[in-house]
Amino acid sequence: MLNDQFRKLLVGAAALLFSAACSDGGGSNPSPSSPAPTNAPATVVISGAITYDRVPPTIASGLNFSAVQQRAARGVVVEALDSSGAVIDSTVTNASGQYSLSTPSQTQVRIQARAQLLQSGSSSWNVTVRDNTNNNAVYVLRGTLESSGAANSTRNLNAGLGWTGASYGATRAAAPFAALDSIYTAMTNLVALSSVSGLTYPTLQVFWSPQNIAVQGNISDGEISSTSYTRISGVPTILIQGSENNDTDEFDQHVIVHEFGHYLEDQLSRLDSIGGPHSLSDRLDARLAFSEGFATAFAVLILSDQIYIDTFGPLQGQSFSFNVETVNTANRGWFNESSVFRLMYDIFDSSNEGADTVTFGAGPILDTMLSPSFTGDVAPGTIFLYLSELLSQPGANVAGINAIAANELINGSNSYGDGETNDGGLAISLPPVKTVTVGGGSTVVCSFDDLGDFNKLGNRQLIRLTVPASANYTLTMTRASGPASRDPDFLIFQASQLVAIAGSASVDIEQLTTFLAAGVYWIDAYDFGNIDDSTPSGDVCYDFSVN
Amino acid sequence: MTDPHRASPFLLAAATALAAAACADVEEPSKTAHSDEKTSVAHAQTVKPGAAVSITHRLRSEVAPGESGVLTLDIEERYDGGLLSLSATSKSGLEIFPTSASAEIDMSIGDTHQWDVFFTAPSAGVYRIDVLVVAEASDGMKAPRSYAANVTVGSGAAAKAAQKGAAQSIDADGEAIVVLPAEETIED
Repeated sequence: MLNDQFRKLLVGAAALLFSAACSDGGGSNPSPSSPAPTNAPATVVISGAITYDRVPPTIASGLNFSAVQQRAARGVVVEALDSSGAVIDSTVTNASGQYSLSTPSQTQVRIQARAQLLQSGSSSWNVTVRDNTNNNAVYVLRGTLESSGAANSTRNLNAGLGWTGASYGATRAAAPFAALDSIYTAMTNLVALSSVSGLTYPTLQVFWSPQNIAVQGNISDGEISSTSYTRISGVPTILIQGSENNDTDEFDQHVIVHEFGHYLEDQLSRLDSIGGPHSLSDRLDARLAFSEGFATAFAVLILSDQIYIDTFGPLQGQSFSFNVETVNTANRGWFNESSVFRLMYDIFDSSNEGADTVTFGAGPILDTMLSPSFTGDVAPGTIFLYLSELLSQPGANVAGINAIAANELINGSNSYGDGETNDGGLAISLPPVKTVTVGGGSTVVCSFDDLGDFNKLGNRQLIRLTVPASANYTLTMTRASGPASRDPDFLIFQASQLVAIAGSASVDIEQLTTFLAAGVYWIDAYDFGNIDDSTPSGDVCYDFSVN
Repeated sequence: MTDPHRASPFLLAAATALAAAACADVEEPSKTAHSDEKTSVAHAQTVKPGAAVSITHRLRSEVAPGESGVLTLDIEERYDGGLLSLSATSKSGLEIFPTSASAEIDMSIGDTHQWDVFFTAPSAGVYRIDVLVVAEASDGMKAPRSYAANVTVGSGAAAKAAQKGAAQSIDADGEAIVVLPAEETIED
């Protein structure tokens, strides 16, 4: 796509060169149908602004359609097309949404804005909004075909909302550009807030459609599970719900930037999360809790707005909202996403209260996520790893940050959370990361379904393993207690990379013999019934050993 | 108890992550999983925050055109109390009986619930019922979870009635595009 864009720019330049070469020296370039005055220049400039309609969300009552604002479409690709649709010239709007294009004079031209952010240089990106229910076609905002005239002119294009009073009765042109602008904010503010210079954002595609709804199924039918982040055929992808009267997210900036936060984790940091549904008060797998808490904290830091709003419902008239600093949720701890975002926000903000005496700013919080020592650490990506890295940042107030963590009932030390005493009401959850030693006998690991399944606290057990020498090792997970005829499985990671899967359907035992290089690994061990909807769940403990 | 050929979203994610790890800087680890593993190809998918509610659905029985059908939603919530509000809508020609288009459930009574949605459709096809669940916890905090279910009416051979997106075009470079009309002002 990037090459396509540069090619189009070259095509545009070539067209202008051709136009100039074919001019009569007097500057005219008449179109066949409308001879130009002899004093017309060979080329003219068409400039203007690209805007879109944005509907502000409210804390309690959904989108406020009586307060629609026209906003600049920043950083989007704008093209001048001739009557055949060929690109004559191409550029990118500035931070005010303005553009300027050169075209032959007296030529039929239309202006088109692509739902695409494109930038090269020290910080670069390429983000495109596509219709996943339409062969992943890219959205384009298209003006009319009109003569470029004999003098410079202005053409302003606005992407309209399509709201006709009680429904989206017209084309929802604003939606792709609203989503894109939230991502523009995220990318540019991350560049500004982080001390990391020259962020190269890998290509990102955004899928939005009025058909997109929260059902698992065929993405080409709009069945996207949720507004979410994932990779599709290897391409980083944010999927956005657009189903009117059910749940639309194109104007929910916090939701979009939250998912962009997951993209950041996956592409520029580390994403150890297992994904799946979650809520603010859930007791979650520690990796999921960290990832979701970070993504919410990222959204409020980037948007400088501590009230997260997600609108939904009939007429888009309801809101799910909370203040990240003051929301009081049950189940504080290392397994709770709200604890993670409250902790990060307290470390960031200048409003100190209670246990919060720290004002560290956004920079260190974001720099920690981007630091090679965090992304490459051998421990799993949990709040413990994050805190251990944050505390090593220059200027970190160790006592102050530890006090904030303690206020969230997070008291484990080091990157594994050793010494943690908060079990979330589930004794098997401690320690957060168990240890197994090569040739050192078995370690008991349990998989319980008491708090839900798939991604809840207790479904899985994390285990650290230090391999002293490169060799073949046999890892064995055998049922020790609980109901029989179970299916244990485990995954082996080094830092954030999965290196082996032991996922057979063997009953009551899972065993894998594999080569492991010397180093430190972590293992995700679980009972398959507790992570799979269609298999009976249960409370089972296993002996885990490595020889 | 387990079907080795059945896909698991998590193992799908794991398998893909393993494939990605083939490019990682790891010294000679085994990248070969068990031959009978439960594999698939998707990457882990994050989900936006919402209600602590899990939903599955089932159709009571086959439904013929013109007959009434029942979609049963099995709802598991993780709240100590509060109110669960449910509403169902359809945009595709399927009619939901008004008396079953919405419901409220007291979450202080158990944590698993069932809700029946009665519907009828005049012709065969696959229809989608959109469901919106709003959990209002005891402290007054509301959180949504939207959901949808496809229901088949009549012959399974009927074409799926999924709504299609806007008309698609091809630009001069052969790229698929969806053209959105601009509100344009032109000044000479």
